[in-house]
Amino acid sequence: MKRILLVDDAETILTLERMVLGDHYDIVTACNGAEAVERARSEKPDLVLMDLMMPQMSGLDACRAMQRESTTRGIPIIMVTTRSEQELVQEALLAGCLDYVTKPIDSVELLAKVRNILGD
Amino acid sequence: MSTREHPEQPPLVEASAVIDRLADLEMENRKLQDRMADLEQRHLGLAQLLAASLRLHRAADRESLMDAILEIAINVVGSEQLGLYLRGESGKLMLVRNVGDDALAHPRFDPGGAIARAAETGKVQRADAASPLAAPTACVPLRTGKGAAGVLAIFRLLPQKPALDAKDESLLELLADQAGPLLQAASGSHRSS
Repeated sequence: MKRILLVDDAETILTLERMVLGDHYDIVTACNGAEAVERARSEKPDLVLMDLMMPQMSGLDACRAMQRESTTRGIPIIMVTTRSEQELVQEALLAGCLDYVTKPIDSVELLAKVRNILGD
Repeated sequence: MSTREHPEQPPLVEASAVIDRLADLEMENRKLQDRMADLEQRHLGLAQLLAASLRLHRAADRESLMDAILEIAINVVGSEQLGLYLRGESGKLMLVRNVGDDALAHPRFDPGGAIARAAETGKVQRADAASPLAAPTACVPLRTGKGAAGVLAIFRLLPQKPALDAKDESLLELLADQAGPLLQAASGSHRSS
């Protein structure tokens, strides 16, 4: 079963994403950017769903940190956030994200994007 | 059935029957897809309610409960500008948390407005065509057995969220029903500790 790392400081979102994805994938979680980078190294997920605005380290900084390391560089990332401004979308793509999903989460959209990237 | 078995049916009639059958199957497929989409939305709605309820009940104290209420309103409902009003010792509603608008740092409370109505009636107030421009999109009373412990006012939704939908209505009712008693219990624990 493929593994997805869910990263968000909002417990509600982690719970919701787990409910949407948990039947199909192995789920691991992190609640800030620094923990996300650490878990990406240790758990080697097939995909990361990353929140943007988080304490300690933002989602963008976590993406950049993952891109700098050879062990985590190739892991695809989908940004999941309340922010929808075009410049932020571009910044996320430049930081290494493959795709972008806005909150509130649409489960059909999220599942479709996850399956598209994981090739399911 | 083949034309060899039923030589009286020319190939054109057979092809036409197949085309008609294909059209029926396509229509049936579209109905199933619509049904599937509806079920997906219901599943998401139920998942949102469960996630929100778990979040509220896992909050360890009054502060984290207030965090939970705002977290649900921002991330699951899709709110950009919020105010959380709780009753103080005097019984008056006081702004205790605000998100998205520094102007809300100064109490903005209209005794005749939607926030007060939500607290008095115990019913979720929704803005409509007749509402003033500055009226909140929704005011959610945090109900207890003895009136509202407070009101969550959603002043503005996120740009990508055009309006509240049926799933949001259920979520707001859940907040109205569950957050109030939890706040009351947390306040009681806070005072006695």
